Amino acid sequence: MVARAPREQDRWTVPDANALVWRIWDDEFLIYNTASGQTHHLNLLAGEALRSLAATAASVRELVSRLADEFAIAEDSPPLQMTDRLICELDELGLIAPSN
Amino acid sequence: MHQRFRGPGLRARIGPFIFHLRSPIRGLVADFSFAYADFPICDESEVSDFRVCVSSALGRRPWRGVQAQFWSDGVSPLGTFPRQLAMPYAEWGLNWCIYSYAHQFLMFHSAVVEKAGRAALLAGPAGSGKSTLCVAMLARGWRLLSDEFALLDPPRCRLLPIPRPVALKGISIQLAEKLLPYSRIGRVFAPTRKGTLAHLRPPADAVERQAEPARPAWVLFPTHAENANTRLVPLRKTAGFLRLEENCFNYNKLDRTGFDALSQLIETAECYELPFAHAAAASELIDSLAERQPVTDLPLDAT
Repeated sequence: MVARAPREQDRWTVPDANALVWRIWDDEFLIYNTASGQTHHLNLLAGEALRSLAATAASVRELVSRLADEFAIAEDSPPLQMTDRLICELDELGLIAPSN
Repeated sequence: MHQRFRGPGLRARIGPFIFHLRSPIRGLVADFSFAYADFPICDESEVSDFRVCVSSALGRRPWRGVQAQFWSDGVSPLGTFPRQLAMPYAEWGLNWCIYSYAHQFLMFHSAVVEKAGRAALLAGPAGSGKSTLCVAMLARGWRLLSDEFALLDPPRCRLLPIPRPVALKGISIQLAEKLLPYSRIGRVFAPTRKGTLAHLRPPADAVERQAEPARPAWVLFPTHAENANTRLVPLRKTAGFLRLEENCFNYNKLDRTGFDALSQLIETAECYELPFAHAAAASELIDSLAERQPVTDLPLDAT
């Protein structure tokens, strides 16, 4: 299934945070999804985004704001300009879903 | 021995398994008896994990010569093969039994050697140089845990020995004769689907200690190339995890247990790529890892 592009009003969440098992080594994330049986390798930005959504649902704009705070970078900095795409990819992997 | 193989069969304890073996093929009995000479024989009251038979096969294609077939509990996974190659096929058949059924372990395609209770996994696909490097490690006094399988016991995060014969291919046969002059090497089989092949009888010490597990300390991914710059290249833990997962037979079968066990192994061990041109130089590097990392843990029987 191909995920659709996120809309501004969409809020995103991890459907079952308890299903995810986390390992964080050297600023890289390995996530085991007990629901799908799949293992995912995420970089620091993607891992922190997922961790943030697992804690509380957020729109793309809210997520950008949280990540900017987390990494002490500007909201329009290059890594955060790709947050839309990141959301799509996490959705395609079945790690997140719209909460509304 | 031949009568027993032909009749009721023989129960041998090989690592954590008991194999019940039967065969009327004299050549196989001789080769097997040579390669497994030091393994303990179990009495008939002990339940076997695998019941294996290598029998002559009906020759539907007489031009292919006399054929044989490997059976395990009514399944023949390898088809028919030339009877004179019964020993290599029996070995591949035993491999098949283990990776098809032994899901109480997380299993990797890897040789494993041990020193002072700490094990080095030499992981990689066929042709990466595992067996050659394994021989070089034995020459440096490391104990053979396995030439083919790393068997990780998930609850304890320990590697269990299964010190079956080392499958030597091509030039590694001459290397083993040179590095291990007192070792015993069986008949040379050629050609097999893996080229020229011979089996190194596992050192008696490795068989005697086949109930002693080891703690994973190093995960190495050797790749042999004649022009390689032999060196240890440290790997990040995530990269080590993903590389080892590629070499795992049953990671997906074990679900969460597999993830937890592999994570624990990776947390415990250092991971390296090991491109090498000469096994002796590569084995020296592995030895240096053990020397520069002092043994600080309790002995295994105290944990």
